[in-house]
Amino acid sequence: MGLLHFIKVLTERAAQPITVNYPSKLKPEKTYSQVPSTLRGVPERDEEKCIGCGACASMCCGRATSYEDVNGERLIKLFIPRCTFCYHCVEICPQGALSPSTKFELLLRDKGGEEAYSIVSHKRIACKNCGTFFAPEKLVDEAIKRCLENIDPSVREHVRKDLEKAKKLCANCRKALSVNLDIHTKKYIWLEVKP
Amino acid sequence: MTIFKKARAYSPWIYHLHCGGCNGCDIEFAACLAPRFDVERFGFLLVASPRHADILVVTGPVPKQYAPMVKRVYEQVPKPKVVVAIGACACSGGVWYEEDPANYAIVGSVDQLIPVDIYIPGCPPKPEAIINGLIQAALQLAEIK
Repeated sequence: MGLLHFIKVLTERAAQPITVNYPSKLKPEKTYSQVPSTLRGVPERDEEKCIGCGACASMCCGRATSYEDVNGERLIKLFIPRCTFCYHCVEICPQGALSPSTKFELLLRDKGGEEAYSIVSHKRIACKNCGTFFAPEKLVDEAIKRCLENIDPSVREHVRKDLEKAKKLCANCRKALSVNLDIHTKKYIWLEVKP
Repeated sequence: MTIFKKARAYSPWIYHLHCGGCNGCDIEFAACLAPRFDVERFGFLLVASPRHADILVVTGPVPKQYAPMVKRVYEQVPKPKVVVAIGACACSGGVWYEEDPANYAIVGSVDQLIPVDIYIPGCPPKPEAIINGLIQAALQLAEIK
């Protein structure tokens, strides 16, 4: 009994090698040991959904994600060798632009090359008055959209006009020209409109 | 000459240098050598001395106290040699990286001390990713790629 059982187990084990046949072209289904759907790889960024707010950069604990303002562009960079796949950026992203992925084969030969970075660029708005570049266009549009969603419906149209004017100016020019352009916030008190 | 190259590609010997890591990458690297992933089927062999090695595998952010030893070990490896950095710490400093002021205790990435040929990012990388990197290192050793 004991010997028969031993032979049975031995033949079963011998028929199924436990080694993963990793770089194999013959049996692609047995190539990887285990790639669960929850495996943490490099987070993927949807360029259309991303608005360039930089929340991911502020949340990144390893300083892998950062943003850089270069003239008319805001570049959001992810330096892949420094990423620890903690997914704080995926959790914080207000637009849901970052999504988890299971991509784990990330071999690099050149650390400063293009493969090491995942870069998304956003167009910034130039101030109508002074010409300096400030916030990304998508970010401002999203902020206006959310502001109008949450505001009282009775004043919505009024505020929309003001925001369209204020959108084209940088922070300093907006302050300086607020009375001239009739976008001063205190005018709601003068108008006796209750927000 | 081609026989030597072929021999190098089929039996590269590895020396594992652990510099101040959290052991995550080291456990994954140990899993590579174990039967489940079994990197030895490609001819890789873990050796106890850098003087016998062809490939130097480095894990962990390098503490400043350990920096001279990393250089010494690299110099002891006979030519031709390939250096493989495993994990986010060895590749770029990982979570220990600080811009200004720089980290007072940690060098950051291994490539500040010794030239690194292959980087395997991940925290820790999967054993498959490490096998992929080691095979590339073996091919580079034999000057095939």
